[in-house]
Amino acid sequence: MSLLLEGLLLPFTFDFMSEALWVGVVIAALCAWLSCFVVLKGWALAGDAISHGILPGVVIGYWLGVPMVLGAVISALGCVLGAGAITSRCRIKEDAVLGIAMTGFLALGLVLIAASQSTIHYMHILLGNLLGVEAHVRQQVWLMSAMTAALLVLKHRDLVLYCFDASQAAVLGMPVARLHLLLLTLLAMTSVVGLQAVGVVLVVAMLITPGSTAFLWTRRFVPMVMVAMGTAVISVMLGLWASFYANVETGAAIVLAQSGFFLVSFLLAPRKGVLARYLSFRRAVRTDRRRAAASCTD
Amino acid sequence: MTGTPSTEGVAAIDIQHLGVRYANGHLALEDITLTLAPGEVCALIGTNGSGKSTLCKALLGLIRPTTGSISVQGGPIAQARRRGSIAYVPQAEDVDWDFPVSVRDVVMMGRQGHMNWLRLARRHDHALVMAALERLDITALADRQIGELSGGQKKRVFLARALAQQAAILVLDEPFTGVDVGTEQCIQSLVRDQGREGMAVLVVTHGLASLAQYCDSVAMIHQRMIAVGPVDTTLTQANFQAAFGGHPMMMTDEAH
Ligand SMILES: Nc1ncnc2c1ncn2[C@@H]1O[C@H](COP(=O)(O)OP(=O)(O)OP(=O)(O)O)[C@@H](O)[C@H]1O
Ligand SMILES: [Mg+2]
Repeated sequence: MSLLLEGLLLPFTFDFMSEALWVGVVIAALCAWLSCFVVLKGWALAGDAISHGILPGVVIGYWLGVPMVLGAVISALGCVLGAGAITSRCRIKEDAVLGIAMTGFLALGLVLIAASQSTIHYMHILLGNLLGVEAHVRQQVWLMSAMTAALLVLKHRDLVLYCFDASQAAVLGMPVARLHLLLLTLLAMTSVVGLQAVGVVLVVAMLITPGSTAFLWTRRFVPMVMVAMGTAVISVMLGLWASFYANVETGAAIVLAQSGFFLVSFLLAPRKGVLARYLSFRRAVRTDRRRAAASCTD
Repeated sequence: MTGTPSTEGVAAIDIQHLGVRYANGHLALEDITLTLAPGEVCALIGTNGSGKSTLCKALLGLIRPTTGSISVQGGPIAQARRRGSIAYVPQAEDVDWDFPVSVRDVVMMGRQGHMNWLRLARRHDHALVMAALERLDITALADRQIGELSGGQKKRVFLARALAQQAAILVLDEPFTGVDVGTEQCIQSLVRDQGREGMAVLVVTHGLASLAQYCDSVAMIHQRMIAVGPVDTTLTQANFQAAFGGHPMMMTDEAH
């Protein structure tokens, strides 16, 4: 037992591993928080578009030497708002337009990367590099996480109402368009944070999976956020162990662990899991039959 | 009423020559003029597609009028909304029923416009939520998830939310569709009581028999205003045939 514990804790006695753990935990928790809004608002595709749409902005940001959040937020908003503007003006369905915008932005980012001299730097952006987050990037992660978390706390009620019933929010005099923009901006900022761990390609998983998993376990919003954060944080630990002991790509291992949580929840979650639903249905049918049989013999 | 500026003598709702055209070019409303005094309960009736819901949405500022003007408590709609003065229960709730909120949470949303910038619910808010739940007889359901209710129960929840808002103006778009007799009477008595307390209520309905019992006035529309005035003098055979395309008026509530 203590041997197992030792084995679990051993990796984090190394500085680079414990640093990765801290950064990873913060990133995962933040993404998980946002993922609850994404899932409830039905924005999985928009989240995908945002997380891919940041790429050109990040690359150009590097070139110009401006903080990468700035470029990322501008380019992500350009991606989704542009797609929205096109959808409302033509007969192509929203998912197709979003798909076009997102792949277009991703391709543009790849072209820009190819055009720049050093390619090593950008592999981190594509695949993430939790084990080697540079100090100045780590500072950006702290800052953006703190800002996003503060906004999420302050605007919690308004965002929940906006997601649940936007027209009621409007009737109550809330600035619905601004809340919409706020949520998109927070998503873009969180994507930038999230890509440090798992990269642009996989960051959308961190923005969809924990919320979906938590949705299966809970019936209230705040518990949903807690469960989402819990599974996301444990996934980071699993990912780090896997990469330490088995030399697996960290980002991929984290996302794989999150997918695993989802699959298990889909099967086993109380009330909303398939097994629980099947068993409760069977139980109900059995009582029905027993009651019917009893009334026949009466 | 909370959040209401001094409104002595000012109409709660003042709609002047309102016209609404949808983006697809359809003219839904034309030259509608309607005023409601504080405490007035007005029924809005008309055929399917006559523009009743459109009128409600325009009144709430959810649709922009193409012509004419609407003022609420003497000011623009946006101002009234920010004061939390208008409560609205739409014809069909377009919400995600799987959303992880409880009945109590939903009713509390009615209070949100009155909360300060930190949006903390105070004791007063909790008390109003409890009172609204009690008034609609859904206290026992307070901790249910919103999707775990029947259609009629859901209707009561959204009415409770509107009630908890303590608005000066209440807009109900077909609150009686798909509800049983008990719920219908509960809603009617609620509307009557709110009217007595000074709330102006605009209620869209297809049930004509009981109008006189809970409404002060009736407005009959068919794209244009056909007739408007006190229930007994306005709900005449001639007006009815004009509004409902020649169908004779049946004084039963079966046409819900
Ligand atoms: N979003 C829209 N775009 C275009 N036309 C619309 C839109 N919504 C409603 N209409 C049209 O406007 C007219 C009025 O619709 P409205 O919903 O106000 O009718 P209503 O009186 O509420 O009918 P019902 O009794 O069926 O609820 C209808 O002819 C309808 O087809
Ligand atoms: Mg209608």
